[in-house]
Amino acid sequence: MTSASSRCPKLEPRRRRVWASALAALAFVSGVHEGRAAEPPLEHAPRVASYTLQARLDADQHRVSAHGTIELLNYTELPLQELYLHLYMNAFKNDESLFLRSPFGAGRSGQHGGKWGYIDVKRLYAREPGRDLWPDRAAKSPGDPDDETDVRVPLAQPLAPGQTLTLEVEFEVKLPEVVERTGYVDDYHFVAQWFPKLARLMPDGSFAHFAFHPQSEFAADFGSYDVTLDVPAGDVVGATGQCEPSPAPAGRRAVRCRADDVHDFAWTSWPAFQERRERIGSVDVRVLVPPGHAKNAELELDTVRFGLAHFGARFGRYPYPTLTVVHPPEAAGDSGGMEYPTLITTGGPWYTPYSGARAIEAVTIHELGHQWFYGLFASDEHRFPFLDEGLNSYAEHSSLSARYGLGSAFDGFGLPIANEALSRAIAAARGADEPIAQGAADFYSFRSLGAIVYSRTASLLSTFERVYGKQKLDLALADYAAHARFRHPEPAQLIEAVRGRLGDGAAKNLERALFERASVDYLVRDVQSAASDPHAGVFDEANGRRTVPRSEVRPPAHWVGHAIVLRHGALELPVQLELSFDDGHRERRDWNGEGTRYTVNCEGPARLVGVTIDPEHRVLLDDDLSNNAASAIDQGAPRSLERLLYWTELLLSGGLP
Amino acid sequence: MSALGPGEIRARRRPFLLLSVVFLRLLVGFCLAWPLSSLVAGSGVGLRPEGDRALFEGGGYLLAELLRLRGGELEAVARGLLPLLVLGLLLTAAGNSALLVGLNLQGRLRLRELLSRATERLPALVVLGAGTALGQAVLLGTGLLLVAAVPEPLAKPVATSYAQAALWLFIVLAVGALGGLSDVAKASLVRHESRLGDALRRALKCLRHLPIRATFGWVPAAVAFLAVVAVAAKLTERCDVSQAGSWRLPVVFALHQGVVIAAVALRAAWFARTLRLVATDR
Repeated sequence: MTSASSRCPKLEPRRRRVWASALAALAFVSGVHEGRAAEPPLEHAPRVASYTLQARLDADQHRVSAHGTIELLNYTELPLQELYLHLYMNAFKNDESLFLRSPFGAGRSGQHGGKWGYIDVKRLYAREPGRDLWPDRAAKSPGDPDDETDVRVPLAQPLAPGQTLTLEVEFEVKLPEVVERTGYVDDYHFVAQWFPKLARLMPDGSFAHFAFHPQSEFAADFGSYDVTLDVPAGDVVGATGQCEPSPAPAGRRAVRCRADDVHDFAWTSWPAFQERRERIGSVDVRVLVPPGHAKNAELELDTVRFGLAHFGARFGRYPYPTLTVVHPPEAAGDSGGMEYPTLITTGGPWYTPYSGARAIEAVTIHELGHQWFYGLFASDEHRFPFLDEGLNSYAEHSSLSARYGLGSAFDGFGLPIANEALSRAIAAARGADEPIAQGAADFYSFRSLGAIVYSRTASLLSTFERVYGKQKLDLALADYAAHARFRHPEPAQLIEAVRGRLGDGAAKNLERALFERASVDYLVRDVQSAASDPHAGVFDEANGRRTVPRSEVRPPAHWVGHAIVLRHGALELPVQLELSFDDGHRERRDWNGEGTRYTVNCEGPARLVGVTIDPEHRVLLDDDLSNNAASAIDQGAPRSLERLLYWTELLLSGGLP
Repeated sequence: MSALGPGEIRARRRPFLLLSVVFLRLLVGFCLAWPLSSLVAGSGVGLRPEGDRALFEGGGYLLAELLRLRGGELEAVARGLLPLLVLGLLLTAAGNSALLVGLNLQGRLRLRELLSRATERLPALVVLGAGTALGQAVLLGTGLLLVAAVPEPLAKPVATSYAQAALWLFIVLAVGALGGLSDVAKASLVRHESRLGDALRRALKCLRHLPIRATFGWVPAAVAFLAVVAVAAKLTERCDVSQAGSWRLPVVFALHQGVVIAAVALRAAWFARTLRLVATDR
């Protein structure tokens, strides 16, 4: 262990950086404690957990042997008595692990691996006091006697505040057949969650540790990574950070990859990768695709060109010098669609671009968005998955809409389909079954997590964008981004950012939607219209009784209209109404959404024939769009009948004349 | 009524018969489409001031909502319509039978005689059609197994796809060839008023003498049909029924019915060719 304070007068540059990181971390932590949302943006991350590793891939045995050092800076104000290491690879060790024990196999990848994977730590040596800590570890995850992914390691002596603990580590990983974004298929290897990884040190001196749950992702501290990879000579390597060739024995090749201000490291090695490179702004972008995927590579590069500029303008500049996009071969598709610092994986068959669906664009922009919502804004993915997946799904949808308009998900057969429409439908199908803001493991299934965390959060923010204004929401998210950059944001920061730009009403709605399962459903009842001309009958007036026979009542020339609009649910969102009249004209009204009922009253020469709530689809959170309109006349569905008739006639033709 | 000479068999000789077959398809199609469209109308779409235009609007918000809320019911109704679909296919077969019979005959068609002759041939035609469908299903099943057996090396995805596509093309051509040959047998049934076995023998004989015409003679008609469908789809897209304008729906209806008319005419043209093929014993 090294005491930074005792060496302060003679700090080497590297140590100076560590100390500066500690101060930055302390400044950040105190900001969190005091509930301040307007912390100045950080230029670099506090360097809390750093790794220097040398790893060798045995491509035939699918094993990675590695050794190196792990440094942990105690930035808290309390001495540390223990630490926690995540051994995520042990999730694939046997059917007793938390990850694999469900008989339903419903993890994020939806299936179990074909071959076991695990990690054997052979040594974890603390340089001070000079002792191997591994024999003293707890063999199993806390509270789970069958799981080995979350390991407590008692320290031989307390780690004082401001001190750095250096651990020498040696381990071997047996990779599983690709499952949950890691593993191998034939000679393709994607190596993620592969090293003993320190759980995130919390400001109160505890660790954010958890057994690897099939619905969960990760959480870690920022730091620096210096990893040398030794692979077969013919392999093409893609990895986190900036990589350069390194000396290697005959028949092998080595690359040394370094990355600062990141919190994970993943890599891939495959002899068949084809490479595209391009410098986009200040970023060296590398796209690795299987042979025959040139069109996908071009599409991914094009999406990155757009995304770096688009997200950079909205959420802050992409700060790293490199970005690697890995498109796994189709048989290893489960390693695709994932984010790591400065490295993302996509996926899909080579012919996807010809299908009309924007699948390649969507997966690329989604994973690129994670460079912000996960990479730079390093929220706890286990505790609040909506902060990365949910906000990022909104970022994905809004960016694709900005680029492709209404056809952001699909554009073919004359019917453009928007991502927001699909996401809204998925979110509405699960309604408000569970709160958005809860832990990944708390969702009753991954399908529920998918609908609520990804789709409902995205629909919630799209609703805010459309109801309160895109400019305001952009400003709020920019505030959140400035605060969250190189930090570990919590929901409170998002709510405060929304309050600051969209007001208390919006913040209240956001809080309710996130934590209280609040929902909204607008509906129309009783659209009526009647003539307002003088009624017939006997009337007592000041100058005597007057009888108006029915024959004298003129045909209606003036009409009164009436309709009731109701709001179910607790979210009070402003909404627009459109009144339709029998002379063809339409009129818009605004309702602030307060109260549970709005009465439509109108008068004029035309008859009110219908009322439509939210004609521009601003309130995407509306639970049921089918009750959003009512009219005096049932118009049937002639266009649907025509289209169904045509398709049926073609079907009767047997598809051929 | 006697049979036409081989040189006189032409689809254009029977415009009213063609239109009758089109009308039959329209009627059957309507019976199948109406319950589904009623469900769509009852989902709340019919009560929108703009009606079901909203289902066709860009973005697909209401279409997605309809499928979410009523998808299960639509599926259930569609399943319930399967017997009606089978009946519709039988009626279509009867229409095709009448078409073959009508194309083969000379002089003014008398409905009673046409129906009598067509009905007489219908059982054999249905057996032939069912046998053909079974054979085609076996071919497709075999195709599925063969395609699944294609090796998929990681580094050769395009070669794999091409191999699978080539296999599928081969299977589809085999399915089409079987269908073509079946149509030749049907024509033989009608032309020679023969029994099923005899018709099959004549079809096989035709296959030996004119293999391409007997198996793939339908290809020009199929290509023309696909072209008509594609053009109609483009024009329909331009009409955009999601927009206001009372002219749009009738125009789209006319376009689509034009496709159906073209489909029936092209089938009649192919039938005329098969009748000519089997008109003379080779």
